[in-house]
Amino acid sequence: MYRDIDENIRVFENMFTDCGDLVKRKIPVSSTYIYVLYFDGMADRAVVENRVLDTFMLEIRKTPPNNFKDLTTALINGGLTTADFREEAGFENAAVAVMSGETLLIIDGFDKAIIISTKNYPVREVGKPDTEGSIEGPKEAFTENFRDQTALIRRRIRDTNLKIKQLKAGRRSQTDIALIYLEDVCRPEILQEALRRIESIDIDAILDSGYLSQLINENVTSFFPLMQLTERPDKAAAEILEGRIVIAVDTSPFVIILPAVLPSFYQTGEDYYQNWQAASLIRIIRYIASVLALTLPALYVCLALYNPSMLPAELLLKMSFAREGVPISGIAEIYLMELAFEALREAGIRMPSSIGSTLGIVGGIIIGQAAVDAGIVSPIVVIVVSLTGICSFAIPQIALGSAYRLSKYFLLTAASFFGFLGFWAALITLLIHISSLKSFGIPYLYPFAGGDIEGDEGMRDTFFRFPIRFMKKRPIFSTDKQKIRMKSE
Amino acid sequence: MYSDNGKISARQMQILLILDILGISIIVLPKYNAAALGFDGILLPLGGGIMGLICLYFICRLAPFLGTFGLFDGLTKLTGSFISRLICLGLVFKLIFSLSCGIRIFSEAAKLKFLPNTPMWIISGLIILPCLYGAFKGYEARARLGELLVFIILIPFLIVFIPRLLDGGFPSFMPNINIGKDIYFKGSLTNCFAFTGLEFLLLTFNHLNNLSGIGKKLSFAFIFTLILIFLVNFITISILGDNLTASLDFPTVDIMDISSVSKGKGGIMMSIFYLSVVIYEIGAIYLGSGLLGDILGKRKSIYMYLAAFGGYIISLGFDDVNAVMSFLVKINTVFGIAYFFVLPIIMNVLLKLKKDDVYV
Repeated sequence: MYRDIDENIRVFENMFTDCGDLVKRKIPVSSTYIYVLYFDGMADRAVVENRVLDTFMLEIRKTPPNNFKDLTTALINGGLTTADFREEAGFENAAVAVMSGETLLIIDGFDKAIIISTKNYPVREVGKPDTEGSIEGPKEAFTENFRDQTALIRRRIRDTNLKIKQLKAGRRSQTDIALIYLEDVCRPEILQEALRRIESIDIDAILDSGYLSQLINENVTSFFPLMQLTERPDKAAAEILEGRIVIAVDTSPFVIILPAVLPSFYQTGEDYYQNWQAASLIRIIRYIASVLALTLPALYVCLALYNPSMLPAELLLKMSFAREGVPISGIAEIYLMELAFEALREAGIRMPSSIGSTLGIVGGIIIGQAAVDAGIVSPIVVIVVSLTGICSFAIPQIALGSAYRLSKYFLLTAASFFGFLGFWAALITLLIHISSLKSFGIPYLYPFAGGDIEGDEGMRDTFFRFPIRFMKKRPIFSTDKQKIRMKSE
Repeated sequence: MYSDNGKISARQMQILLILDILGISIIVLPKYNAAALGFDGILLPLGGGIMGLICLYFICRLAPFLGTFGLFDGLTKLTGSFISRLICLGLVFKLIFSLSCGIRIFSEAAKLKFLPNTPMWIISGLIILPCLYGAFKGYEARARLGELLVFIILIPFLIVFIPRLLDGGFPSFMPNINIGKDIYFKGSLTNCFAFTGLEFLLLTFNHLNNLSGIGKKLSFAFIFTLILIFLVNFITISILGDNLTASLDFPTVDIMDISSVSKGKGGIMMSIFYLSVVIYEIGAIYLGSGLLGDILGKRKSIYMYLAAFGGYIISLGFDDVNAVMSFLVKINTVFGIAYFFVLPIIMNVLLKLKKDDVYV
């Protein structure tokens, strides 16, 4: 920056041409000039005018700034009543700060600007989680506000080892990103890799954590999620305590958790707030539901159309009667119903919640019943598709549910062409794919596969959720020195 | 990165050994044993198992050496480049032949049970494609797949096949225990050579992250597999009788369909068979192509296509399942003697003689 205030003003005015929401003013103060710059709506006008300019101008009149050795001393002695300010010498960084809601203050004769933290842009209040609701446990959810995200975690882990490493990404969006982790628990190689991937991003804008999770994903061809998203601060804190890294992204209410392994997508915060028996039952149901969501339509095709002899005779007879008079083939029938279900699901998400439930009833019950009565589809197919749909909703994480939905069509198509052989070929291909996946070096199937570590207790938090007093060790994500999380009694 | 090293653990190696041996053995051996020794064929897996343990002993003694150098480089150090290439090429052929037999046997069974009207080339193609994909994903992925599949294979196996023991006794159980020594020896040898996972060990010690106690661990896995094979063999021959077992193409699959406990569950046996075969085929393609790369001086992905396509083409050349099985017995005998017995023993001897030169 220049020492001449007019030079600086010219640069900033060139940068911010045609910005109607920009507030800028050159103010004579005592024997000198100051220049103030901020965006209306992004910065807190009351703070800028009453608590910064007012006190500053009053005080500085008494002691002209050129009597001070440096700018910081000038400000501190000049009555700046905030602790959160810094010096900035570069135009670019100063401009980014202004665009982030901070206030720029330039004093004539100094070659540095003062950036005063006055961020106050419109944000939501901390509310309840929309996608990860629970009966027991905390009801807080992250908001789009970056500082709320970090604060909600910091509030839960009051440990000096909790580190919040801040970065910016996106050439135009200059989005704030924070890697939140426990320094002594998190594996350094995973942290380095996460940092490397974020720093290598060169994109114009990151508007949500979904952008970032895709950009740092190591396997773009896989539709299985290799990172978790959560809107629950309690879950994020729990994962940090296990040695994982949480990435908060400004403007996104979801934080990223990495690394992620398949069983972690079946875990919810509530699992740990209720007794272990109830939590284990729910876990087992989730696993069974996911297997059904993945395989049921394909198995129906295999059993009903290719190898009916494997079914009990009574069931086979019932199915044959039910299909009597249906004008389309069994395969076309199941595809048609799956398509209808997908359309219904999509429409239900986009509709306002009051209409959405009506749509579900009309679509699911009335149209389904009408289709069966009209003889277009058989009741067994309606049951298969509905059960598949319900099971897919039992998977706690949407991303994994979507992966299973896509995989379901892969299995269904293979089964439609080649029956059981196609089903097994597709299933084994899928299993090979999942087996080959790694999230930041951690095998995706840990602890079912690839977790052959002496004394590892990863299996204690999979199908069954062991009593908390039996889960004394942290899982694979933590450093070896910090494996023990609960001391023996 | 934590596990970005392509290495597998001893537990994973144990599981792979179980799966590699189980697939073909449970389908081929009851038929072969019934044909060879009638009712007394139930005892052949025991003889084969003892011989297999001897082979395993000699192979495992090579673990530190092979774990350091790998088979090709190790052999080059012991025997020179030319003989090493020749021996490794033979093993590549063995792997590709075994691969082709596995594909064809399963294709025949799948055609019989699942897709009677589908051409054989499509069925075989459906089997080889996932295996090729698996080979491309590497050995670590294969090991993790094995850890996953062992439950998918063993749980239905224990739930569905073993209850057959309680289902109406063994009406055809009539052992003579009157076996000629040379016939028993020959039969046992054939059983031993059918344990097709053993040759993989020669190629996989350098994939292992910790060699300590590997001999004991692999012996345990081998004995466990042997018990399963013995049970399958015993149940099949005892229930179906020797003549029927010998005449049926897939007695192990058929026994599920004729049992009142497991009626119509032949498909489950087929599924177990399929998963086990896939694991073996992935290994054969991956290790065969890797060895080919060693021989030719450079590892290229084209070798995987070559191994898979070679196995696929050969598999289509057989007339029927009996032709495949007799071919399998022949190649298992020829290559089995060479790679299960002769090679490990010679390598052990040479290693002892040249120990100081080799480790320089």
